[in-house]
Amino acid sequence: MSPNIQEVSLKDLNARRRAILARVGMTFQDLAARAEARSLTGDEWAAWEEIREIDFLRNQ
Amino acid sequence: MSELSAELERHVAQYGWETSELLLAALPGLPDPPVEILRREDRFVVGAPGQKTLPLYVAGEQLASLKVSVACRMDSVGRYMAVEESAFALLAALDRTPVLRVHYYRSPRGKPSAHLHVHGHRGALSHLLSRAGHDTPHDISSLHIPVGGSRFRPCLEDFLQFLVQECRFDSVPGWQQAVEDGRERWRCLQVAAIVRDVPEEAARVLRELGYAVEPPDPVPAASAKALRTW
Repeated sequence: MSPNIQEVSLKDLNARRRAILARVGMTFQDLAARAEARSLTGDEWAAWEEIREIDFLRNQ
Repeated sequence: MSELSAELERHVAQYGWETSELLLAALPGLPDPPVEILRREDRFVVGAPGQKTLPLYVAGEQLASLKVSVACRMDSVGRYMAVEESAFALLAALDRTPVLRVHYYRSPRGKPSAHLHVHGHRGALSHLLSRAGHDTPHDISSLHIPVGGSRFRPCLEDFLQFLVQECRFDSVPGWQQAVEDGRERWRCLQVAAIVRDVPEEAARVLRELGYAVEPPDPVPAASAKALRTW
């Protein structure tokens, strides 16, 4: 099966980003600080990777 | 949609399809398709569905997972799909954190553009990093081990072969053919990019091989960035 191209809006991405941060119960700054210190747990690592992809799409 | 944008979408869709076929031909038990493509304007991310990871099995038991993420957009001359960032990571199922990561950044900001992170412990290395004044000597994963720069970096096919052949994860019969076919496509693309980086050197080698090659006017300059950046 060919992969779909899923169009996402800035609004979708912002909502997805908020949901990811809520899932790990952190602000972006807290999560970024833990990533910088390389002390992310499994869930936090997944969240950080997802947010990095989202921020690439948001162009930020 | 502009003509360039449609062309980029076609390139990304082709890349997504090739990645999907490669993964399905190499690793068992994956969702079909194993990748999705997220798009906003001229930016794309190719990765596992739902921005998640893909399962890796040993004798049918999931012991690890694979993160594949490729962020791309149109290159600076508006002609080719350019990978801005990519990540291939092996994560242990035990704690869902990375064991190994291969990263590529087109704009690396001081780091090697293509590098490997090893999440492990080695007392002797920590000791010498500490003596050398490293900020985090206890954390080997903080090292960015260079792996060939933009043009000579490992491809996904290399990482998949490493997972199957070196780590002994379960594979699909015939995986090696798919991996080698994909690697051949990747290296042909990289060779084309290298020729664009150093056209005079490419022309010199072609002349040595007996080809007749005439330079355009003006002769394009070699890319110092491609030749000198780590």
